[in-house]
Order: sequence, then C-alpha cells, then structure tokens
Amino acid sequence: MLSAYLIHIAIIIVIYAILAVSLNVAVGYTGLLNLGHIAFFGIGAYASAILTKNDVPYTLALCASGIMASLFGWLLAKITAKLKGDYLALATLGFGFVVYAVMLNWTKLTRGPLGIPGIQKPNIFGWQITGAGSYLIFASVIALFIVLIIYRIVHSRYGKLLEAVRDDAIGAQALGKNIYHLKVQSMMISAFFAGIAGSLYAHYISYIDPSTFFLSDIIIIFTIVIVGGLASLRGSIIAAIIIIALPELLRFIDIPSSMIGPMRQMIYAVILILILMFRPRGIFGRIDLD
Amino acid sequence: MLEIQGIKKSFGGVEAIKGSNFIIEKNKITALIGPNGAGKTTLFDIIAGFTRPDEGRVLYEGEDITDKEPHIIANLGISRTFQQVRLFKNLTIGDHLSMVENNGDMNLIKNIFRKKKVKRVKQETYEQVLEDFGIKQTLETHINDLSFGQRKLLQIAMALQKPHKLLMLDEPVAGVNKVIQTEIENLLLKLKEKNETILLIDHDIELVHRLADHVIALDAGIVICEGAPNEVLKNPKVLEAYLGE
Ligand SMILES: Nc1ncnc2c1ncn2[C@@H]1O[C@H](COP(=O)(O)OP(=O)(O)OP(=O)(O)O)[C@@H](O)[C@H]1O
Ligand SMILES: [Mg+2]
Repeated sequence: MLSAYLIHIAIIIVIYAILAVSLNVAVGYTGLLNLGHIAFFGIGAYASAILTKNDVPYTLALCASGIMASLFGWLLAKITAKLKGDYLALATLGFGFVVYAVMLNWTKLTRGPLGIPGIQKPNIFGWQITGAGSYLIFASVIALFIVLIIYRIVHSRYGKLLEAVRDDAIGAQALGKNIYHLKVQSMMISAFFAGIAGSLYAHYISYIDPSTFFLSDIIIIFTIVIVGGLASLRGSIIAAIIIIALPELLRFIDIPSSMIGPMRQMIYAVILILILMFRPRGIFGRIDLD
Repeated sequence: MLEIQGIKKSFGGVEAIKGSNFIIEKNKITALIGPNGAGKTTLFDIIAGFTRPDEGRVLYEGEDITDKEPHIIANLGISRTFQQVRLFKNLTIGDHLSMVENNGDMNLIKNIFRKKKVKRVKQETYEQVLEDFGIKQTLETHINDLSFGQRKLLQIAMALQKPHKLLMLDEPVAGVNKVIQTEIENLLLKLKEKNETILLIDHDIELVHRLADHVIALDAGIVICEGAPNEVLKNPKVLEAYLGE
C-alpha cells in the first residue's frame, strides 16, 4: 500500500520535473516570462487522450501531443513576438485562460467539464504498460531522454544564444542573430516537452478534465523553477522532488483532509517567499536578472 | 560605402535628427562629433536598423537598408559597438567570442549533435584576441567579473572579430582610464593603417584629430560642417556648438 503510494508520488514528480525543465528553457534560459506553460501541458494531455480514443496508436499520439503543444507554442510566440517582461507575462497568462476556456466549452471535442474518462494505458509496440511500477519506469525513461536533449541544447552554442537573448536581446541582434527565430524556437521546444508531459499524465491518471489545467497550477511549476534556480536543469529536477514530496508530509499529520489542499497552496507560497527573500537565485541558480 | 539621405527622426516632441545627408567613404575613418544630445547615437541606431527614421533612406553599398532588421544589417557587414556596453552578463568571454565568429550557432539540430568542446585551434585564436586587446582574463571569465574598461575592450574586440566591412564605434574611449584609452587609440591607429572603414563617434577632439580622415560635425540634429579634421575643428560654428552657451 505504502509502496503504491510512493510510486504514485514518484510518477507525479517525474511529470512535474519534465514540466519544470521545459519551462526553464523558456523562462530561465531565454528570459521569456511564460505564465501559460500549463496550457501546453493541457493541450498535450487532450491531444493524446482524444487521439487514442479515436484509435490512433499510443506512440503516435505521444508524439502528436508534443507536436500539437509545440504548434501552439509557435502561435503564442508569434503573437507575443514584440512583447517583453510584464506585458509578455500578461499575454501568456491570457493565452492560458483562452486554452482553458476552450477545453471547458468546446464540448464536442473535449466533453467540457465532464472530462475524458477511460484513457487507455500505453501500449508501446506491443509492450502493454498496466501497473504503476512499469509506468514509473516508462515515464522515467522518457524524462531522462527529455532532460538529455534539453541538456544538449542548453549547453551548445545554440543554448548560449538563447541566454544571449535573455541577457541582452539588442546586443544579440547587433551580432547578427535573429532573435525572433530564437524566441519562437525556444517557446516551441519548451511547449513540445510540456505536451509530452501532458500525454504522460493523461495516460497515467486515465481521466482528464479542464480543472487539472487551470492556471493556478502554474504556481507549482513556477515555484519548482524558481526554487531550483533559473537556467539550472539539475535545480529544476531536485526542486521538483522537494516541492512535490514536501506537502505529502501533510498526510501524515493529523489534520482534516479538507485542509490539505489549502495548506498545500500555502506551503508553496511560503517556500516561494522564503526563497525569493533569502536565496533569490534558487538552490542551483547561477544567473542574475535585472 | 554608406550614404545617408535626408534622414529625419523625432521622439515625441523632440526632433533628434532634422534632415541629415552625408557619405561615409570606403577605407577612411570618418568621425561624427557634436555636443551631448546632438543626435549622434540616434544616427548610429538608424544606420544599424535599431531605430526607424521618419523620413529618408540609408544606402549601404548602393543597397537600401532603411527598413531592414538589425540582424540582417549586421550580417551584411555593419559591425557596431554601443555607447552603453551591451554584453551578456551571465555568459563567459569565450561564449562571446564564439558568437561573433559565424552564425553556425543559429542551427538548433546541428548544435544538438555537435561535440560541445571548442576545438583547441579556436581556443588559441580566442586567447590571441584577448592578448591583442590587453584583456588579462581567461576565456572562462564571466562578464560580471570584468571591469568596465575590460567590457569596453571586449565589445570593441567582438565588433572587430565579427566579419564586417564597416565598423561603427560609439564613444570607444569614453569612461575608461588613460592606460586603456591609449591602448584603444593605438588599436585604432593600427586599423587606420589597415585601411579599415570606420565611423567613429567621439568627444575627444585631440583623438579625432589624430585618427580621422574626415569629420562630420552634428549639432541639434543638423550637420553644421564637414571636411578635413583641421578645417572642421577650427570652424567657428563647431567651436561655438562645443564651447558656446
Ligand atoms: N529612445 C528615445 N526616446 C526619446 N528621446 C530620445 C531617444 N533617443 C534619443 N533621444 C533624444 O534624441 C536626442 C539625441 O540623442 P542622442 O543619444 O542621439 O545624442 P548623442 O549625440 O548621442 O549624445 P551623447 O553625446 O550624449 O551621447 C536627445 O535629445 C535625446 O534625448
Ligand atoms: Mg550618444
């Protein structure tokens, strides 16, 4: 019983680690303050669920979830191309709202608030994943792969360009770098992997509805990124473990279950404030922003 | 090489440039002088595509570049520095020098699979650049750890390392100590020998005298005088603009 519970937590950690690492590409490395990341998560989840419901093979649906989210990343980046800082943050927040509203209201496609139940367990070229244990292994392998790719990206010359855009976009332009391309690509990469995380989530929980992808949950992902440190992949992974596991301790304290939700939100808020006050760069952060 | 035709630019109510015309000749050092607020930096920004003029055209090697994006103009061979140094503060000197070398870094897919380590040859080239410019730091040093003078030197080094035909320097010696100032001046003299085409903004009359082949004096957004250094620098209108009030 306890081990099943631990496996569950571990799977959630893996999914949030992917979300945080991918968000860090946009926010930490490229300086795009994207508050709509959770929309990509939702788009991936819905894409994968709807496709497999329509008999598309799981592996295809998994790829499609990333591609679909990435297309929306392209769209968001194009729309917000000339915005910076607070304005960009607001616009991306608006994007998150719109996607949420579509999930809720396009009932023909998403069944609205009823959600989509009975999402199948993954079948990868004949390997049927049923138990939580094998799902954990599967999700971890995917996550490992994603982290590896992102690691290669951010440590390459290309990754340094993303950081240049964050530190001084005008300076980067003066060196002949097309900063619009870089911003769009960064957003697409970031969205792609959030979409994959969405698919992993949908096929694990097997039921999705719009409430999972409401904007308030962006706070968790942001807390992970900030606590771990901007532009630190290791930080995002370790912070995902801490931030997801810590509130679970509440279960072992004798408090009414109705209090757990609000308490959890409070813990995130307190952690965020403490970090910003005493260690603004996060645990592993190495960069300074203006 | 570069032709400025009837450029006008206002910011809100301020007319920063009021219809300027001039030509920058190939293989010459042209100095743009004028008191604070004359519109020198604004002209730089217009040439490099960072500011759109209200009227007028900029021709570069006969091509109209007025409406082109800054990165396109940079890639056409106009290399510039900024009055307020623009470097990437969380990156290292090596990262910076690698960026100006070519645009191979723009290709995402190639970069994912490319080996990370900078080839030793490049490492040596970069170290040579640091030595040439008298920047006594390693390639791994972060920009945050550089002095103001070193940042200024690095920015000039980058503008020079970047493949270019025209070099535009906005007050390269302003704010640095005498030692670095002399260093930069010697460097510019060497570039002069090599027949580089340079457009230079500076307030130091003596320096302009020693370096420039041609001087353009700007005041309140208008070219008040241009010609050989000793003529322009003696011109009563120029003296008044600089020393008047
Ligand atoms: N982005 C801007 N917005 C509003 N006004 C501006 C802007 N850029 C320049 N100006 C104004 O245009 C005029 C010319 O400024 P500019 O920076 O080109 O002068 P400058 O000749 O480079 O002066 P300095 O020697 O002090 O660097 C000034 O009055 C300045 O206040
Ligand atoms: Mg200026």
